[in-house]
Amino acid sequence: MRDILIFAELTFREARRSKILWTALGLGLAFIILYGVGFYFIYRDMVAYSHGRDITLDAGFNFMVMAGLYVISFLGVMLAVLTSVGTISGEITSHTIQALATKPVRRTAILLGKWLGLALMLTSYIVLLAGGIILATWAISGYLLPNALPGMLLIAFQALIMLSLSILGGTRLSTVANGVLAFMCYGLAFVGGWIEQVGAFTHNETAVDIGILSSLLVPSEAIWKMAANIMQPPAVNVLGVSPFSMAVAPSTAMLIYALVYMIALIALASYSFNHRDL
Amino acid sequence: MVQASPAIEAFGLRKVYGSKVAVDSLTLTVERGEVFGFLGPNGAGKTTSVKMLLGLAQPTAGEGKLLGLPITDPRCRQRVGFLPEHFRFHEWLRADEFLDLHGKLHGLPKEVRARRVPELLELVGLTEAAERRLGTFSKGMLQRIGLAQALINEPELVFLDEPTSGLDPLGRRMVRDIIRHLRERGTTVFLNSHLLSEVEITCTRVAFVASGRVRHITSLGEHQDGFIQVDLRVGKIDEGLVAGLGQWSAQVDVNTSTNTLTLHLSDESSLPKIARWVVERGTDLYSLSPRAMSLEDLFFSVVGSDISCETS
Repeated sequence: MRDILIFAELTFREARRSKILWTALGLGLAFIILYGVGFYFIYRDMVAYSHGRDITLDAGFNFMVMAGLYVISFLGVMLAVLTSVGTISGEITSHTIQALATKPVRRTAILLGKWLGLALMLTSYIVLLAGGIILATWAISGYLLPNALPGMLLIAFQALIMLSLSILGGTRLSTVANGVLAFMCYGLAFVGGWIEQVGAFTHNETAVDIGILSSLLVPSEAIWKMAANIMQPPAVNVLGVSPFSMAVAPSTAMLIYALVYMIALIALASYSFNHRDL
Repeated sequence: MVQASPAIEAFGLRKVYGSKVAVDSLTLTVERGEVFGFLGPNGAGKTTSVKMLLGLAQPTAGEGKLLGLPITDPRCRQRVGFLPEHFRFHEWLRADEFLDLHGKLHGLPKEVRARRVPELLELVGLTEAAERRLGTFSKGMLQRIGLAQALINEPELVFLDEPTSGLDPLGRRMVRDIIRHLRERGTTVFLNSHLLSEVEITCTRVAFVASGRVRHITSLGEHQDGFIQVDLRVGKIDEGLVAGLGQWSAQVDVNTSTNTLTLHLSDESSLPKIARWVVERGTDLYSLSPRAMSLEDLFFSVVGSDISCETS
């Protein structure tokens, strides 16, 4: 455990030194401010044209927050892949791994440490950004998103799945090949998820099956859907009035599957890293 | 029990990459306190051997032990230091942070690290550069800090893979002095090199490696063996003469065109006996010229036929 923490801290320090952390935080803050300003003006118009506080007004606010969260979920996945894609393969290519792996530490500790460091950074970043826009919305309009905390954690979980996938790829593939693979997998889950949605609205079973299959292959999109489902009022979901409306929400079984999937990826990454020559 | 075990034991270590045999079968024992040279041309399998011993590469077959523990157990590297051939480290770390990190990975307590880090920076002449990032270091400075890193845990066994490749003459002398200092402290040093002179100056024993195999192991310095070559020019070479000389030299090279025989002797004490024996059996002896064989001569006589790459 001590070794895992050393590598987690090293990963965190590297992000801080290489300015990735500051750049991401600065841009994240800019994103929240931009969102807040934009929301403020839309809010003014919406209130002016509405007849008092009602369910449609709340649905409008909800749509705005969901749009913001959708961007954050995408950014989270991008960051997860970009920060981790070369964390193993890059160190093998540059030979920096040799002085580390010949210390009296298990390779699993190196891998888990890197995963933990990146996972903590990603989760904090997503919670910070998502929390920022949820709070900005609340401060301006008084609208509080339902299930905000579990929703944010699900968005972070989606990024962690992609992080684990990209770390696994990095134990065998070159940095570029791994990046291509990770984004292809994300794309597959993304398209599969939308096919499933459309299929559910049009009652096309084949389309739904394709979606389920893609969710089993890469469950990242299914987790986003789960987050979107719990953070929207039930009426919005049922009526399908928003692009984020969930015709079929993934079940708890899917959540458990995704958790097992992620743990399996990490275990496989550890096995693969342990058995390769450095 | 662990103290009494040799520093390095390898039994039939073998590494095959696809169809290429990098290390055929490495079997050797390095006792504690030795400065052991691992000498061979480029591509002989030296680095792969070290990688297997240090757990970086998985052997295709065979097994090994460091300080009595199997090489598959990370704990065997607790008292081991390593300077890799490609001394590349995290460029964003400062020199002192880098040493501190490697101390942490060895599990050294904070106060020990606080003492060791400045000590080592001074040892490798980098005290002034303690707070500079490794990204700003020259090749020579990186090799120095890499050497310091290899010594952070006051190791009982140190692997140095081509430790002077990036260094100027001053740096090379520094490495020699450090190796001498380690030897005085009783630390075992495994020196991987293709520089004959470097090995000749620093090592107590040397293995010659070629095409993935140890061809010959010999002691250096005071107990130098297999190092005298004697040319005998005689009137006539006959079978009895060659067979008779075999009692002193396992290998007798015959050159009939110049009537010369070349013997390989472990020391010069047998020279008078050889001269007497040749004369007494009635052979005309025109000259008997012993010459000490340099490490280079020995190297070429052992691995010469396998060298396809450069040797320097």
